[in-house]
Amino acid sequence: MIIKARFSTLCALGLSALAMGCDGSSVQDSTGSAGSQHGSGANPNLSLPSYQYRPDGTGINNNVTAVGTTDLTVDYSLALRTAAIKLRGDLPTMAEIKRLSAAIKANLSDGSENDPSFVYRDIVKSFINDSPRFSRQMVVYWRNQLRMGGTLTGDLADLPLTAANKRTVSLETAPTLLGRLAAEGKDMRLAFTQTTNNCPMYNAATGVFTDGNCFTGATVAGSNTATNMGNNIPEGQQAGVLTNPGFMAQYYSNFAFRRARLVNEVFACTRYPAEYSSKPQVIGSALYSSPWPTNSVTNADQPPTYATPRRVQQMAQGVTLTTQTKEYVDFSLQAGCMGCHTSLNRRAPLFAAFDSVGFMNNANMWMVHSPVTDAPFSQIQDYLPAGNDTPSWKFGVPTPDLKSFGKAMADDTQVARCFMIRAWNDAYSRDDVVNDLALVPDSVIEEMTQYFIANNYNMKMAIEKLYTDPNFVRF
Amino acid sequence: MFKAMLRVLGVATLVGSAACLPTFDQPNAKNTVDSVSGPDSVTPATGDPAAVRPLTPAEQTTIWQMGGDPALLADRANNEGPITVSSQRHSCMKMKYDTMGRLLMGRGVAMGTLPVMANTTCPAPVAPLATRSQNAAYLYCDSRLTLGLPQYGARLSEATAITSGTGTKMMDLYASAASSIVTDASFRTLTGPGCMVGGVGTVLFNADNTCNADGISCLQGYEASADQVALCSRIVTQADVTAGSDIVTSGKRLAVAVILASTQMCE
Repeated sequence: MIIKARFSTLCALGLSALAMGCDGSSVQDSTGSAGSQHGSGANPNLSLPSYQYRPDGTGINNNVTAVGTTDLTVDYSLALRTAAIKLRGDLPTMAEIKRLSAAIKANLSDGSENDPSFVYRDIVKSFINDSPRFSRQMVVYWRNQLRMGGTLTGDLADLPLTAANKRTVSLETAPTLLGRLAAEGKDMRLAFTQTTNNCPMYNAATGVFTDGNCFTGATVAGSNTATNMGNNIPEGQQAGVLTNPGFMAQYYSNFAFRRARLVNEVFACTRYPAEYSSKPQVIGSALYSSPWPTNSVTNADQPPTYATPRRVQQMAQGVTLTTQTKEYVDFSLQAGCMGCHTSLNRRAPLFAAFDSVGFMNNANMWMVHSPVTDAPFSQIQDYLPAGNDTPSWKFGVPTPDLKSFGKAMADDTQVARCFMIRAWNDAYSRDDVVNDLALVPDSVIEEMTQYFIANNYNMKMAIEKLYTDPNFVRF
Repeated sequence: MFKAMLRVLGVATLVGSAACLPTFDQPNAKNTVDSVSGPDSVTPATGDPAAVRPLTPAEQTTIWQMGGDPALLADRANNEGPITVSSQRHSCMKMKYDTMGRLLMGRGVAMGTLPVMANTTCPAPVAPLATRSQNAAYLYCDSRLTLGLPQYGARLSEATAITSGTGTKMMDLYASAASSIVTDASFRTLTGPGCMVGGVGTVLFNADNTCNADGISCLQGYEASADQVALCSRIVTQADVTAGSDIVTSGKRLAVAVILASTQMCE
C-alpha cells in the first residue's frame, strides 16, 4: 500500500510523462478494493474481463481493457420493444415505432416530441396505464413467480381417499391477488397482511379484477365435489397470500415444508438456510450457521413423545386407522440438518393445518404428514421440542400465528428487496434468482429497493422507474 | 552534464512508468472471509474471526448448497463478467407462449381463438397430416408444450430458456406464419392491427419487390436498419422457388420467416 502510494505520487508529479495510460484502471490496491471496478486484477487465474460500470447512466466503459470490452449503446427502439412485450404482452404498434423513430432522428433533449428520452418514457407510461393489458401482464408475471395457474384437485381434510372426497381449488386467486396489488399500485405488503378479500378473480377477456373472499363458508360435512371449499379462515383473520387456499394446495407436502420453503424462496429470494449467525461453527462434519441455539429443534438428543395412537389418513371409507409408531424425524445437528431446519421447523407449523386443497382445520388437527412408518399426521413435537415451540419468522421474531407471521414478513427489508429483484430479473429477461441463481447484488438493487420502500411499496411506480432507467435502454 | 540530466530523467521515467503499468498486487493475508453481497448476504461477524484453514468437505457442500456449484459460477463469471455488470445487462428470455400468439395475430396471421390453454381443442389439421404443411394456428396450438405453455400443475413457471426443440418449433411456426402474414393479393402490405397507422397498412415489399423499412420495423417491433433492409431485399431475389410459386413470392415468404425467426425468439 505504501509503495503503491509512492508510485502514484510519481505519476501525479508527471515524472513519467510519460505515465501514459496512467489511469489506474487495472490496478487494485492491496486490500483488493477497486471501487466499482472488477476484472483481471482481482483474480488473474480466471482471466475475467475488465469492466467498469458507471451508475450515472453512461453505461459500461469500453476502454478499460481490450479484453471483454462491450459496446453498450443507447437503443430506445429496442428498449421499447422489450418494454412493450413485458408490460403489454405484445410488440409496439407501428404508430408507436414511428413516433419514437421520429424523435430518435431529431435527437433533441428538450422534453418535446423531438426528445427520444421523453417519447420513450411517455410510451412506457402508456403501457403501464393501459390497465386491461398491464393487469393481465401482472397476473401472468405472478403466475410465473408463484408457479400457479388453473385448478388443482386434491383430498379434503383427513377423510377417506375416495373420489367423493375430492375437491377442486383455484390456483388463480393467489397470482391474481398479487397481480392486482401490483397493477393497481397498492402497498405490496398487503400480500402478507391483508385480512379480507384475498381471493380476487381476474377476467382475461375484459381485464377487470373482481373482489373475492377465500372464506366461502363451506364446511367439510356439508360439502360435495362441486363445492368451492375456500380456506376456512374467517375474513378479518387472514394473512394475504399466506392463507390463500390455492397457494396452500399447490405446495402441499409432508410437514408443510414445501409451503415454508416457497414462502422463503419466492418472497425472500433465498434458498435455505434462511438466516445466519454472526459466528458460524463447525460441529461434527457440518457447518452450523444458524442463529438459533443448537438442539432447538426435534432431534435424537431430545426425542419427542407422542400420545398414542397417532392419527393416520383413512385409506377407505369406514376404516379408521391409527398407528402406534413412535418414530420421528431426527433433525440432526451432526448431520447438518439444523442449519436450515431451525428456521424451517419454526415456520412450517403455521401452515400444517391446511389440507391438500388448502382448507384449514380450525380444531388444530394438522393435515400434513410425517414421513415415518404409516405416515401419521404431524404434530408440533415433530418439529420443535416442548417448551421451545413458538413459530417464528426469524430468530428474535416470534410469530405465534399467521397474521403476525405476515406482519413480520412485511416488515423485513429482504422481502422488499426480493420484490425488486424479481421485477429486475423479469425486466432484463434474466432467469430466476433462486432456481437459476440469477443473483442481483445489493449494490445494484439497493436504489430500486429504497425507491420501492419510499413510495409505500408501490410496485407499479417501481416498474415505471425500472423500465425508464438509463441502464435499461442500453444494449 | 546534459548526459547526466538525461540519465536522471531516464531513471525517473522508468520508475514512474513502472508504477503505472497494469499490475496485480497480491492482497494482504487475511484471516476473515469478505462478506458477500446480494440475497445471500450475511451480517458481518462481530466475534473473534475463525482461524485460517482449508475448507472441509462439509463446508464445501454447504457453500454449494448456499450458492450453487462453484465451478458453474466461476464459468459463468468468466463468460458474463462480474455479477455487478452482468446483472445489469439484458439477456434473452424465451418469448412467452401467449405473447407469440398475440404477436402473430397482431401482424395479421389468423390464429383462431386466443389464448390457447392446456385444454383447448386445436383446429383440425389439413389432411394428409404427414405430407401437407399446416397453418400457423394449428402449429401454435398443437405444439403448445414444445413452444412453452407453462406447466403450473408441475409447479413450474414458463421456461425462460430456449431449448433446441423449442427453438426449432418456433422457427417452424414463423415459417408457417410467413405464408399468411401478408394477406393482400400482391403480397405487399401488412394489414394486421399492429401494423395499421391511421387505417392504412404498412408496406413490407415495394412495387419493385425490394423490402420496405417500415414493414420490417413492424414485423420485428423496432426500427429496421439499412443493413436489414438490404439483406431482406437480397433474400427476396435469391430464394429457391417452391413448387407452385414463383421466385419472388417464395423469396418474400422466406424473408418474412427469416425476420420473424431472427427477431422474435427472445423477449
